Amino acid sequence: MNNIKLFIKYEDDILSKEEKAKFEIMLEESNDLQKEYNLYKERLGSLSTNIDVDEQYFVNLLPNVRSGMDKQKSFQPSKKIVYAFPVVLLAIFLTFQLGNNKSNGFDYNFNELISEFSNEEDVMNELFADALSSEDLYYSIENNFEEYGDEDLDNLMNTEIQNENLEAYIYEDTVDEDFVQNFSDDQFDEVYTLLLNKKF
Amino acid sequence: MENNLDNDLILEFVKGSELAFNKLVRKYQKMIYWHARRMVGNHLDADEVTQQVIIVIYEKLKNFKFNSSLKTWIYKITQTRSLNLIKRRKIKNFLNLNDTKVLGISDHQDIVSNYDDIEKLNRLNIVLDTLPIKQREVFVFRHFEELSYSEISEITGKSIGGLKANYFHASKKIMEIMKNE
Repeated sequence: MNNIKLFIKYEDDILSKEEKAKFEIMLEESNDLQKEYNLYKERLGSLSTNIDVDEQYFVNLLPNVRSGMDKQKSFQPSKKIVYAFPVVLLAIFLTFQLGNNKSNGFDYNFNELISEFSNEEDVMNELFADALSSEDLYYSIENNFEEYGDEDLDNLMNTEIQNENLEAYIYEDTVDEDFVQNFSDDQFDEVYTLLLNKKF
Repeated sequence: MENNLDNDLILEFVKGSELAFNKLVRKYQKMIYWHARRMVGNHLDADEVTQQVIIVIYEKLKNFKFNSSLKTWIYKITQTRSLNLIKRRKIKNFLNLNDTKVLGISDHQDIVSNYDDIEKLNRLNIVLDTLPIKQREVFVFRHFEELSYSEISEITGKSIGGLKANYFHASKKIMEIMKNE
C-alpha cells in the first residue's frame, strides 16, 4: 500500500526533488519495486485506451443543435401567447367584475323610497321589479327585511310570489292581477308566510 | 497562440460570423463530449450535456469577458451541466422514475460500436462510479484531460491542495479496485 502511495505521488509530480531522486534510485536497485511500479502504470494506463467512435456523430452534432435552436426560436411567439393568455383572461374577468359592481343607475337609498312610497302600489311594484333585476338592491331588501312593516310586506307580495303553485301566474317581475284578486284569505296568509320565510 | 486564435474567432462571432462559431464548436466538441461522457457515464446523457453546452456557448459567447481562456470557460460549462445531470439522475433513481439504470450500460445508440471498446468504457465507468463526485471530477481532469492543478482549480473553484488530496485518494481507490479484479 505504501508503494502505491509513492507511485501516485511520483506520477503526480508532488514529491520533492530529494524524494524523487531517492525513489528513482530505489527503482533501479529493486526488481520487485520495478515490477510493482510497472503493474501500477499498466493498470492506470488501461483506463486511458483509444476508443474507436462513429465520427458521423460529431459531423452531425452541430447541425442537429442548430436545428433544435431554430425550432426553439420558431416556438417562442407561441409560448408568449400561452403565457399571455391567462393574463388576458384575468383582465377580462376583473373588467367583468368591476363592471358588475357599477351602479345600474339606481343610486338611491332604498329604505327612504320604501317609506316615502309605501302607500303607492304602482310605484312599489316598479321599485321591487327593479330590485329583482338589480343585485345590489335585491340584497338591500334582504338586509333591511326586518325593518319592513306589514304594509311593506304586502307590497312585496305582489311581485315576490314564488310558491310553486302560483308560479304559473308569475311573468318575470309581474303578477297576474286577476289571479291575485281572487285569492282567498288563506291563500294570502300562505303567501305572506312564504314571503316571511323567503330568503331574498 | 491557441488563445489568440480562439479570441479572434470569438471577436468574429460577436461581429456576426456564424462560421466563426462553427469553427469553435468543431474545435471543442470532442473535448466537451468526452469530458461529459466520463462524468455521466453513457452516450445518451453525454449527448444531452454536449448539446446543452453548445447552446449555452452560442447564447453566452457574446458576453465572454476574456478573464480566462475559452477552453477553461467551456470546461466550466461542461462540468456544471454534467454535475446537474448527475444530480437529476440521482433524484430520478431515488424516486424510481428511471426505467433502467443507465450507469455502466451502453445503449444500442452509442457511438462506440466495437465490442471491446464498449467493454473498456463500461469497465472505466464502473471504476469511476465508485468514486465520490469530487474525486471523480479531479481524476477525470487530471488523468484523462491532463490538466494542471492550477487549471483544474480555475475550472472547479477548488483549492490546489484539496484537488491534490482528492486525486491521491481517487488513484488509491482505483488501484485497490483494479487489484481486486
